[in-house]
Amino acid sequence: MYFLFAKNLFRLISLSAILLLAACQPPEAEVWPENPGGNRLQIVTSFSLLQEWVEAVGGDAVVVRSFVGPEGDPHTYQARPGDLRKMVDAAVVFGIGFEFESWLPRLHRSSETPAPLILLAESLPAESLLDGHHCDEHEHGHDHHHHHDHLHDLPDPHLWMDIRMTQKLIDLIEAELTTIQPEQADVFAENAKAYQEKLTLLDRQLVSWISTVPEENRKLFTGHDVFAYFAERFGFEVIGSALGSASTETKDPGAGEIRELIQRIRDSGVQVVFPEAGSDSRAVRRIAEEADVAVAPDLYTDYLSLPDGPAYTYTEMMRHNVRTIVEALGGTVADEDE
Amino acid sequence: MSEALDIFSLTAVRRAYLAILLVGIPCAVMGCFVVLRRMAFIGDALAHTVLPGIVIAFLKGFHLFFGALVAGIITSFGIGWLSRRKEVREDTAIGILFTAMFALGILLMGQTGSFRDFEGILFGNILYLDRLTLQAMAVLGGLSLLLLASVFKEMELVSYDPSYAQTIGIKTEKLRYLLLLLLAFTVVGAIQAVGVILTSALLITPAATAALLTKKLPLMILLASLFALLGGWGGLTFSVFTNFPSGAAIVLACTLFFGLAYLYRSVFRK
Repeated sequence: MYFLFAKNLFRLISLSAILLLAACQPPEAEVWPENPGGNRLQIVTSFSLLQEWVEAVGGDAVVVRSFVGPEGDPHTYQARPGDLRKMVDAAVVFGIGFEFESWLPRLHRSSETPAPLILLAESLPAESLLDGHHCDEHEHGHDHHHHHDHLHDLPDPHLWMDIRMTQKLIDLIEAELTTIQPEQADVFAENAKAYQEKLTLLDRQLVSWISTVPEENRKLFTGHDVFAYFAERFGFEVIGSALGSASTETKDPGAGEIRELIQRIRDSGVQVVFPEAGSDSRAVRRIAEEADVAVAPDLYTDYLSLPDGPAYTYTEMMRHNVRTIVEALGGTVADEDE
Repeated sequence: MSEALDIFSLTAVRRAYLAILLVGIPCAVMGCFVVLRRMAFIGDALAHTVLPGIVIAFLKGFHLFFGALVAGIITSFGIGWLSRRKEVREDTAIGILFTAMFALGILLMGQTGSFRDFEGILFGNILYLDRLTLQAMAVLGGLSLLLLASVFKEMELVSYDPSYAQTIGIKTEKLRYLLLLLLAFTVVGAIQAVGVILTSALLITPAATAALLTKKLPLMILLASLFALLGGWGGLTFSVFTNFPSGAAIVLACTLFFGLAYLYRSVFRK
C-alpha cells in the first residue's frame, strides 16, 4: 500500500516535471534576440517618452529598449526576469527620477549591472524645477493641510509638459551619450539639434493655439497633479486635481476633500475637467458630475499611446493635449497649421 | 540556448531561487498546521495587517521591516486574545482584526498622500532582493522552524485533537499563541520578499497539496516543503524563460501541483 503510494507519487512528480518543462519551451528567438544591438550602443529607458528622446538623439548609433512600453503606466510597474537582462546588457540606463518610476533604482540595484543609472530630472538644477503641489499655492487662506506630506517635498517630475524643459532633457541625453561614445559626438549633436528645432516649432505652434483661448478660461482641473509645468509655460491656472498627487498611486480623495474640490471648481468658474489616460478617472468623473461640469476626452501625460492612438509620439501627444484643452475651453485649432 | 541560460548567472536571479528556499520551506511547514487547524485565512490576514505597521514606521522614520514585524506580532496576539474564550471564534477574530488593521493602515496612509513607498512591501518583487533582505528572511524563517521543532510533538497533538491534548496536560493556549507568533514571523519575512499574494499562496497551497496525499504530519511537512520548492522553482524558471511576471508564475505553478494532487486523489482513492 505504502509502496504503491510512493510509486504513484513518483509518477505524479515526474509527470508534473515533464508538463512544466514542456511549458517552459518558448520559441527562444522571440524571447532573447541574439545580440539585438549589433555593434550599436544598447540603452534602456524607463518609459516610452524617454525611449523616443534617446532614439531621437542617438539615431542609428543606438538601440533603445524601454521597460514600460506605450500605454504602460510608469508609476506602477512590476519588473520581470527579462528586465534584469535588459539592465545587464545596457551601456546606460535612463530614468526621470524624483520617484516618477520608484521601482527603477531598486531594479537597477538588484541587477548589479555595471551600466550607470542616469535620472535626468534629478540632474537638472533644482531652481529650474517646480514644486509637486502647485495647486495648493494660491489657496493660503484656507487651511487644507491634508496634502502636506513628505513625498510632496519632491519636485514634480512631469517636466515634459513644458516643451522647453524637454529641450533641457534632450541636452542632458546628448551630453550623456557623448560621454559614453565620444567618437559619435558629431552625430549626436546633429540629431539633437534637429530634434530641438522640431520642439521649438512645436512649442511655437502650441502657444499660438492656446492664444485663441479666452484669458479667463485658462484654468485646469485634472485627474492627477501633472500640469504644473504646462500651466507655467502656457499661462494656465491649476485649480486642482482629483487625486491631489503627482502619482497615480495614491488614495482616493476623502468625502471632505471631494466637497472642497467641488467648491473650488464652482468658485473658479471651471466648465470642463480633464481626466488623463491610464489613471483611474472615477474620482474626477464623480467630481465633475457633482459640480455639474463637462468631462473632456482623456489627455496623455505619462506615456505614449499605441501607434493607432492619438499620442504615438511626444509631439503628437502634446498636440493632442493642447488641441483637446483648447477646443474644450473655447479656442480654435487651425488644422492647416499642422 | 547559451544566450538564454546566461540569465541564471545574474545575482538577482540566483537570489530569487535562494529566496524560494528561505521563504518556501518555513511557509510550507507552518502551512501544514494552518491547514490542519482550518485557519487558511490567517496568511492573507497577517500579510495585510502589517500595513499600519509599515505606515507608522515610515512616518516615524523606522525601518519598514521593523514596523511590519511589530504589527504582525500585535495582530497575532490580538487574534489569540480575542478568541481565547469561545464567544468569538478564531476565524471571526482573524476577520475582524485583519480588516481593522488594514483600514487603520489606509487611514494613516492619508497622512502621507502616496502608496508608493509601501508598494515595495505590499507587492514585493522577488527580483528586487538585496543581501540584507535575504538575511532577514533566513533569520526569521530559521527562528520559526527552530522554535516549532522544540515543541513539535505538543503542537502536533494540539492541532489534531485539542481536547485530548488539554486533558493530558498540554497548555493548548500557550501553544496557540506561539503558533500565531511563529506565523507572524514567517509571514512578515515572506511578504518583504514576495508580496502579499505570493506569501498567502506559499503558506496554504503546498500544505493543502500535501494534506491531500497524507494524513501523517511529518510526511505532510516533507511533501509540503517539496511542493513549495518544486512549485516555487518551477514557476520561477518558467517566468525566467517566458518573461511572465514571476510572482504570478510561482503561484500558478503551486496551484498546478495542487490540481494534480487533487486529480490523483480523485482517481486513486475513491
